[in-house]
Amino acid sequence: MTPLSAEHGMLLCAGLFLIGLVGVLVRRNLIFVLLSIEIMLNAAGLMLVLAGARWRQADGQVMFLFVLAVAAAEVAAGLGLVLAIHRRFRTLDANAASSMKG
Amino acid sequence: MLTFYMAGAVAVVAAAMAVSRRSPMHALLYLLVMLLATAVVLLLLGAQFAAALEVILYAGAIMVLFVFVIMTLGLGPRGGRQEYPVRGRDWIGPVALAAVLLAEWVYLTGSPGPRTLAVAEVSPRAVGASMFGPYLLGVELASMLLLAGLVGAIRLARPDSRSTGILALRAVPPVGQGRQGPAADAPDVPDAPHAPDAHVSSNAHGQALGAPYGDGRGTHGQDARATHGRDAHATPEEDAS
Repeated sequence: MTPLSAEHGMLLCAGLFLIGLVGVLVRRNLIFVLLSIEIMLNAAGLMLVLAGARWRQADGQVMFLFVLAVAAAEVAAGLGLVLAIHRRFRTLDANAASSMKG
Repeated sequence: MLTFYMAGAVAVVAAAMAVSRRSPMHALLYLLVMLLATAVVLLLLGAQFAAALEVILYAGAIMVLFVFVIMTLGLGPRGGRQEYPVRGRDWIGPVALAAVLLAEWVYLTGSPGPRTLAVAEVSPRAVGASMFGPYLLGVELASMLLLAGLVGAIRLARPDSRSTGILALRAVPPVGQGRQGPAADAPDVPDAPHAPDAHVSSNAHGQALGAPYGDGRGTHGQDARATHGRDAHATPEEDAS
């Protein structure tokens, strides 16, 4: 097969990242916010592997594994926060927690 | 080359559907398809190890966490009724996208010759050698991060005790607000389901704050919003945004 042009792979990663970013900014449900963060982390990891394949280095996949560990830790703590917020406010609306400040 | 574009299109479509669904479970189905599409792209890039980990960790472990939380909170399309029959056409979209990925995978495994689009694929052996060579400190730090995430999740999600103290901080009345005392403006909160976490904020002021959200429906009526805004120092503009 012909080698993949790096630009198209970067375009895919940028598109996925953009969708996740829009999801974080638009959605109010905290579950969807976490889900969008997952999409963004996934796009970043895909970009790392793409760069690793482009320059034929193993570093990209190592970084991808680190991103995977970060995503796992983030989603565990984030879902714990979601449970606590749901128990406290009886809703998952992100606006409900806006009064935490101060 | 076509395989990459197909997998990429499936990933983008599934991601767009995931962030735009109303039901969290439907969104999770699409997110699962997006992760599988990403795994196919990784496979095409010659990163078999990363593709396998993507399926095992993302589509396996992290997805199970999401499903656990959604089931715990009863956020499904018909929350509370677990065993409803599969109706409607909710499953057709994810299944169709996954069928595209399956066809692609069958084609990739069956086709002779090089199966990747990379110039030179990076073998898992090289990844392992690099990970436990120059990146050994990073691996240790990642394990510490996972441990911290584990402890944090246990601490935050524990229902008993005052583990939600971080969120109960808001119940402290602000200084100089001219409040007559916590008990003066505390209405009788009659809902029994709210009673089990009454100890989270032992003063009645916290109950008054929690009352607008304590009806189980998360209403955002005008009166609830006004009460909430006045008590918690949140300006209505910020709430309405």
